Order: sequence, then C-alpha cells, then structure tokens
Amino acid sequence: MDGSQLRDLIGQKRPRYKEQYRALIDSISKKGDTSGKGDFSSFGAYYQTYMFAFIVGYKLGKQNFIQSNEKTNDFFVFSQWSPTSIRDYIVMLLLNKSEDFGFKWIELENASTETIDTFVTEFIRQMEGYANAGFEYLQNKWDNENMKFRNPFVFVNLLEEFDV
Amino acid sequence: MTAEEIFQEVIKSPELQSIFQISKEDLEQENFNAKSDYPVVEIIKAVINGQENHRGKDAIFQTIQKQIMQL
Amino acid sequence: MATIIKSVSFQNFYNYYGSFDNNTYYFKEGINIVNADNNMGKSKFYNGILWLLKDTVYDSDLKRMVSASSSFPKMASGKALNEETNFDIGVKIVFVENADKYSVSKIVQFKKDGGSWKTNEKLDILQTIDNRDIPVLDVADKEKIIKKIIPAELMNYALLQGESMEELVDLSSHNGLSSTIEALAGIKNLIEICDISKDLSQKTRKLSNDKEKEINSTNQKITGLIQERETLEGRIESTKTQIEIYNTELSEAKKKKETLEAILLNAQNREKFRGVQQALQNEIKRLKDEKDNKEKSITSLLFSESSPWILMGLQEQISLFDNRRQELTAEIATQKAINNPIKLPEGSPDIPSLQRMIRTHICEVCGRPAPENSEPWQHIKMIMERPANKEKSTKNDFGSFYSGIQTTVGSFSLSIPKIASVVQQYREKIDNLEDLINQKEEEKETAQYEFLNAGGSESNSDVTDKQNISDYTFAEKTIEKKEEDIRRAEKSIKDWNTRLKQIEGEIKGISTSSEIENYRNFKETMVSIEYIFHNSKERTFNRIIEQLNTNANEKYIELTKGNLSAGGKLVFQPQTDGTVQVSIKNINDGELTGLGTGFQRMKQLSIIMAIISSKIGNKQFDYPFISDAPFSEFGDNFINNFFKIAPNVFKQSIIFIKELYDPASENYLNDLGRKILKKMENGEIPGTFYVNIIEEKADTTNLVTKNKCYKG
Repeated sequence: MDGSQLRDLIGQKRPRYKEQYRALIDSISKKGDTSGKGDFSSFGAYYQTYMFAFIVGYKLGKQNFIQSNEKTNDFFVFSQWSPTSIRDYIVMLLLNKSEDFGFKWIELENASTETIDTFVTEFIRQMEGYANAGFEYLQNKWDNENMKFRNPFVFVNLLEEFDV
Repeated sequence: MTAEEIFQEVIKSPELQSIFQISKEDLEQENFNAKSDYPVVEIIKAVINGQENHRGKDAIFQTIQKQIMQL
Repeated sequence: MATIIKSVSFQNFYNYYGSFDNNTYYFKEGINIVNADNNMGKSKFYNGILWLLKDTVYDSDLKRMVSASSSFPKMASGKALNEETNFDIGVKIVFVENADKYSVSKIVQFKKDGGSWKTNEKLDILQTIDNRDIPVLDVADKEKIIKKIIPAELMNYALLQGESMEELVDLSSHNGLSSTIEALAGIKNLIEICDISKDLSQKTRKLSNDKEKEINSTNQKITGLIQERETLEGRIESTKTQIEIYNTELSEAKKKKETLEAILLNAQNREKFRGVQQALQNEIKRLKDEKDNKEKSITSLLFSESSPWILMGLQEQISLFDNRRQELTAEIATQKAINNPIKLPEGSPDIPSLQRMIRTHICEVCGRPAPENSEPWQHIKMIMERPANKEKSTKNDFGSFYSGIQTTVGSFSLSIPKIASVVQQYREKIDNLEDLINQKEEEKETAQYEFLNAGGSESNSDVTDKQNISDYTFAEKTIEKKEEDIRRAEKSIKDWNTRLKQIEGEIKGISTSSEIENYRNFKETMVSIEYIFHNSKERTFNRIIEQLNTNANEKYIELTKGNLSAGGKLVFQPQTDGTVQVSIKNINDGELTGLGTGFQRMKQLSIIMAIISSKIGNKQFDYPFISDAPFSEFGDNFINNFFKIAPNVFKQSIIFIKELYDPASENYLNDLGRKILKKMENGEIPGTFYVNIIEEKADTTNLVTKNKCYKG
C-alpha cells in the first residue's frame, strides 16, 4: 500500500460525535455556511466546530471515547474538510501520538492490509475521543458560563486558557 | 396690601411735597387712623377706605365732595 | 400651618386598577419621587390630584384642561370597564395639617345600564380625632378642608405641570403678569384704587364743567369754550385708551421681533450643528460596521489558511513530526541493510563498465573470462540489473503520505509562533474602535445639545426659516407703524392739552369767582391725586419686579450651576404696555441663547420658585409642591441641582418624573436614577422613591400600573 492509498483510507472515514452534543453543535455552528464566516459566536460549517472541539480535547489531554451503546451522528466525510491545511495538521497531531495508541510508524511500513485497516479505525477513534472530550468541555462552559459566548472572542479565549 | 400699607406707600409720593407743598416732616407724621390737617391727605384716605369697604364710586365721591371739600 | 400629604391612593383610576389598598403611595417630608415612563401613570397620578383639588383634569387628546365631570369615562380603568358592571373609581389623599389628620376621597360610582354607564360622584372627608375617623358632613367645612391642602391663591404655583408653566409665568402677557404680581404682593386693591381715582377725577371734571356752565349759562362764549373743553377732554381720554392698545400691539411686535431675531441668529448655528451631528452619525455607523465586521471575522481567522488561530501554541508538533519522518527514513534504511546482505566491494565498476564486460565476456574485476550465460557472466548481469529489480525493503511505502503532510503544514512553523501577538493586536484594534465609537457618541451628544440650544428641534427646516424672515420683516414694519401712531396720538394729546390750557386761561379771564375757583381747585386736586395713586402703583410694581428679579436670579443661578453652557442671567424688562419681558442674557447683556426650550423651562421654574419662596420669607413653603415635572430637555445636571434646592424651598414636594426611567435596566432606573436613589438611601436627599411598572403588557385598554417602593 502506498501513501495515497493510506490517505484515501483515512479520507473516506466520517468521524462521529455523540448525539447528546447535537444541540450544542447546532447552537454554535451555522450549518451550510460555506463562507466560513459565521456570526461572531458561531462557526461557519459544522466541521469547523468539530476541528475546534478536537483541538480543545487535544489541549486538555483528555479523551471521551464513544461507547458502543451510545447514540452518535456522523460528520461530513473527512477528505472534504476544509481548510485542508488544518485538517492535515490534525492528522499530523495524531500521527505524532501513534505509538501511544499502539502503532509505530516503522511497523506500519511493514503491516498487512488488515493491520492498516485496524490502524485507520483506531486513528479515527482517537480523533473522536479528543473531539468528544472537547464537546464535553464546551457543553460545560455553555451550561455554566453561558455569558462567555456573548463575547466575540469566546473561542479564542477558550483556547488561550490552555496556554497560560 | 392692606389699606394701611397702601396709605404708607402713597404718603411717600414726592408730588405731595411738590404740588401740595406739604413738608416732608409733616408727611412723616401722618397717621392712617388719625385725622389729617390736609384735605388732600383726607381725600386719599377716603379713597383707600372706600375701596376697602367696597363703597360705590358715587358714594366715595359724595364723601369727598361734601365732607372734605365742603362743596 | 404646615400641610404634609401622608398618602395618595387610587381606585380603578386610569391605569391604577383595583382598590385603594392596591394602589397607595406613602409620602413624607422632603422629595417624594414617582418615577414612571410615559403611559405608566405619571400624568394620570397628577390628574388625580387635579381632580381632587380643582375638579379638573388634563385631557391629553384635547391637550387642555377640562372639567373632571366631563371626563369620568376616560378616567375609569379600562380593565374595570371591560370586566365589571358595577365599580367605583376614586382618588384619596390623606394629609396632616399641624396636629390634625384628614382623609379626602373623591369617588365616582359606575353602574352599567344597558349599553352605557351611569355615574354618581361623591366627596367623602374624614377627620381623625383621638384615633377615631369622624365623617365631615357640612359642605362648607368640606371645602375648607380641601383648601387646607393647598390654598387657592397658591394653587397655580404649587401644582405645577410642564405644559401650563409657560402661561403661568409669561410676564409678557397681561394675564400672566397680573396673576404673578397678585401672587406676590396682592396689589389688586391698589389697582382698584387707581381705577376709582380716575373715575373720581372725571367726576370732578364734569362737576366743575357743569358749575362753570351753570354760572355762565348766559355767556355764549364761555359755554362754547366749556363745550370745546369737554369735547377735548373726551378726545384725550379716548386717545389715551387708544395709546394703551397701540402699546400692547407694539410690545407684541417687539417680542415677536426679538424672538425671531434669536431664531434667525441661530439658524446658522443650527445648520452647523445639524451638519456636525449628521457627519458624526455617519462616522459612528462606519466605525460600528467596521467593528462588527472585525468581530464577525474572528471565526474565519481561527481557520485562516496562512495563520490559523486555532493552532496557537502547537508549533513544536511540526518539528516533532519532521524528526519522526527522519527517524523513519533511517529505520527503513537500517531495515533494508539487514534484509539485503549482498554488498558491492569498494571500487565496484559502474554500469557502462559492467555493460562492456557483458559484451566482451571478460570480468574486468578479476581479469578472468566470463563467457555468456556462465556463472561469472550471470553474476555480472545481476549486479548491472540490480537497480531495476531492487527489492522493496518494506511492505508499504507511506513516505509520500508523510511528506505530503509535511508540505502542507510546513509553512505554519513560521506563522504559528506569531499568532499570540497577532491575536493581541486584533483585540487592541477592536478596543480602539470601541473607544473611538464612544468618543464620537459623546461628541454627537454635545452637538445635539448645542443644536437644541440654538433653538433646534425636529421641525426646524429651511422652509420655517424663510417664513421666519418674512415674519421678522413684518414685525419690524409693525413696530415702526405703531411707534408712529403713538407719536401722533401723543402729539395730538399735547396739542389738545395746550388748547385746554388756553381755554382755561380764557375762561378764567372772562369769569372768575371764589365759588368757581373752589370747583376748579377741587378738579385739579383730584387730577393730581389720580396722578399720585398711579405713581404709587408704579413704584410698588417696580419694587415687586425688582425683588422678583433678584430672587429669581438667585434660583436661576443655583438651578443652572454646572451646566455645559453658562446659564447667563435673567433680565426683567418692563414694556411700554405695562407687561414685563423676561429674557436670558449673558454677562455683557447680549442675547444668550435662542429658544432652547431647556433654558426657557429653567427660567420659568426659577420664577415660580422665586414667587413661592417670596411668599414665605426665609422659612420653607408649608404646602406640598406637586409637579408633573417639566424636566424634558434638561441635562442630568439640572435635575441634580433641582433636587438639591427643592428641599430648602419646599417642606414637601412630590415630583413625577420620567427622566430617571430606563425600561431596559433590571431595576428600571438609569444612571441618574440610581445616583439619586443612592443619595436618598444615605440620607443626602430626604424623601421617598417610587417606581411605576406596567404589569400586563396586553393591549393598552388593559394596562395596569403597579408601584414598587425603592425608598420608603
């Protein structure tokens, strides 16, 4: 298998989010807004929301995995997420941690197709874990510190909290 | 203003000195309730009292003409 | 003799639905504020008091005072009219006068009769003696008790409504002036005396003339002269009356001219400030749009292609990734080496040499022959073909995957470290815009204030100014004409007087006796006395005006203290027709402002307070001062000053005001309202503070006002 095949494998996946966060996502996303320019306290398209949640979970260092009995919804197919540079950055962040979830790059070079499939599945699972942890964090903020969302800088502020 | 206040004000008029030749001192002595030697002062009182007691103009005139001026 | 209102209650009266107990306001000495927006019962409250004290109410549709009885249906609560068939409306005032306590209620019973309402008015008064409420039944006594609240001669001044203030203290109108002078010094009797005196001197004239005619009845010349004298005296009288009329018309024209002068003078200013306001408005909009845009762009900046804020703080990951890639390459190379033991010794031949060896069938390395297809020949071939069928050292080849990612994210290694400061600068830019917007808003408010002071209002326009110019010209012409008319009339009188003197001399020359001399003396005495009374009245009048001037100016200065534009001073100018013009001048006696309503109101209020305070000398005014406050167009500064002065002048004032109200704030108070409430709470301003709120936001027929006591 070569690089472009691996990229396609990952790209055709649809990362999921937990149904319980649907309302929150609706609140802070502007569905179908292709300009990427939401109102100031909402994201343009849903995948922006997802990417943001991922980064939040990643910075928290926390993951909230989807259990088999939990209701979920699919997001847009990963290859179509935009901007591609940020999408790829996320891929990079996960690849950097691949050993933590059981896969060394050199091993991947020698792995069978089945193993690669397992890797991709786990890769996406890891992504979902961070994203849903991020959603959980955002839900908490939304429920308990809702005034923050009236500030145009709300999402910037949330990120800056991690860098202090 | 009360009748007395009006009287005190009128008695200050310079015309009483200039036209009627009454001296300042005499004017200062004038009392609303006591009879004055000067007919003009008595006429003034008659008018003031007449207004206060709501007397008709004819009645006031009669008082002045007959009693004061004795005409 | 002090009257203090303890409470005012309403029953189904306008917006005040329900019983007296549901709608009660408890008042004290000091300033009692009822803070309410328009339509929240502010003016209705005042109407309740008007009804009780004067049997009138202000009809806001007709925009004038009407008798209360003609207005009962309008006064009834809409909710009550809709929901009940039998109810009472009413106003109740409980007050104390020294040690006596009274409760006065005016009530109208409403009973539904078919499609209409039957009404019946009652007046109930109770006097509280030894804690028992005793009804007062005698009609005359009832009237007396109502008058204890505010006496008749002070009613106009103690019961103050914005709309009626102007007429009340318009000293340039005869009505306004006489009621003011009357309130101040009660010189009605002196005025009557002057009138009597004038009549008396006319009587003596007639008497003297008649006597002359009697004595000289046979002398045709004298009777002729007497006739002429009577005629001339008559003409002089009527001409004097005519001159009074001319003077009134002259005064009005002068007043009009002065008014218009101020308007026209300020037209330029108004234009200027109108322009400034517009420009600032445009600027503010532009800045707000810019700020808005910037705020809306934040989300897209989070995901910008070149410098995405979302990645702030994550720059080390790139070099980490790069290292991993390099490690991978090294590991792959190592793995390859382990899997492929065949090594070419040092100095191995290159491809062309190998190709030659294949052709020549000679191994140039060891120098031995290598025939085609022999083992050595196969070996040489294998070595030559090695690049072509190089064995893969790994099963997969993900190098391009990783390098693809590296390429995409590589540029971020430079931009991500800068994101923190980029964000900071962006924040600052927005803050700066915010500051700039606030600054412009303040400038706009200042321009608005200047605009109003220059006589501005929404109705001012070019068309109005043109009309004003023509009215001004007309006023000037009128002044010219009237002055000429007066001059001519006065000349006529002078000529007639000269002629009269001649006649006098002629008559005396022809006929004289001590008897007729007595009558002549009598006549002259009465004429002089008329003159004396007239002058005494003038002196008194001028003294009153002078005192009013001083007193009103004291109040005016206190009221306008701290205002942005200097308030100037009030100048009282007696007019030829006997009225008094009060204008606002600056220090050099120049006209200070145009028709800024704010200043006009302050002028009026100063005069009213001067009138009230001069009735009481140095004590406080002992009756309640009740005002539907004419505070619109005043700044906070004036309202502050008023609340500072009022407790010193009035023992108790009840002020209905909307300028402290803010429907959007949680306690319905704006900044100034909160400040004043605070001053009340810490005792700086004594009194009470109520706020009216509307309970149901249904259609206006069902509006119900409730009150909230913020300071009792």
